[in-house]
Amino acid sequence: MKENTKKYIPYIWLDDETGHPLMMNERCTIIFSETLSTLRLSLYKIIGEGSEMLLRLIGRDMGKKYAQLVLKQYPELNEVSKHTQIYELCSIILRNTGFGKIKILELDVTKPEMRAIIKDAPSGLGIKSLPPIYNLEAGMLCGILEEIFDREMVVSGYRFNESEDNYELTITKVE
Amino acid sequence: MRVLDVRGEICPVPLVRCVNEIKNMKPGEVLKVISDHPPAKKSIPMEMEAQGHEYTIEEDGAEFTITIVVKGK
Repeated sequence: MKENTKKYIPYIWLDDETGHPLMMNERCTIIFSETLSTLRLSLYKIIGEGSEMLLRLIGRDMGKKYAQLVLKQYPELNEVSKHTQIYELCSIILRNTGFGKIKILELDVTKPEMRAIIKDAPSGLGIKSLPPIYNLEAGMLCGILEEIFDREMVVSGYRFNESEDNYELTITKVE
Repeated sequence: MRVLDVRGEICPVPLVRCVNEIKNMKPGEVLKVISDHPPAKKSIPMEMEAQGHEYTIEEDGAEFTITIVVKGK
């Protein structure tokens, strides 16, 4: 990687008093991406398919928390349009925290509903024995949208595009 | 014309600083935003369009400049 293509993340600090890393002033834990795929594999071996639902629930809590902190740190993001807010929060939270990259394909803020693709998700790193379903990251997007719309959101459809190596999903409100 | 140099900054800083700068500008004034963070090339134009400002984008390698003309009241 070229030196000038790296940028520091301005809201991660190390607290000298407690010795804890802080992300947006909340204690955080920095782990390697591969650890997440190992965790996914181990959970699947222990509890089977239910592990994927568990990951989605964990992801949802993570997404909500990240969205709350980003909006607290940058309150201006409450003043921009809903489209910009959704793009910015989903993009920041996945990209800046190492959970992949998102491309929004369709967004209807009145329903609300979002169709998007996720790439480079850590859940899929080095795992060939499990289906390429990124429930942790999908859950995070649900949590972000839940925080924005203040209503329960769910993944209503998904598919893995093998040729493009990305995961497409639709998130919509719970009826 | 005002210039906002946000090279080296990552999202949401370029968008937030751009939105804050425009709040203090008058209709017809021009703001040049210089950035090298790829997602800002999408988020800033997206918001400028939502707010009704005119803009153009010029690319120069990894850097790009978004020139915004603040809309009339």
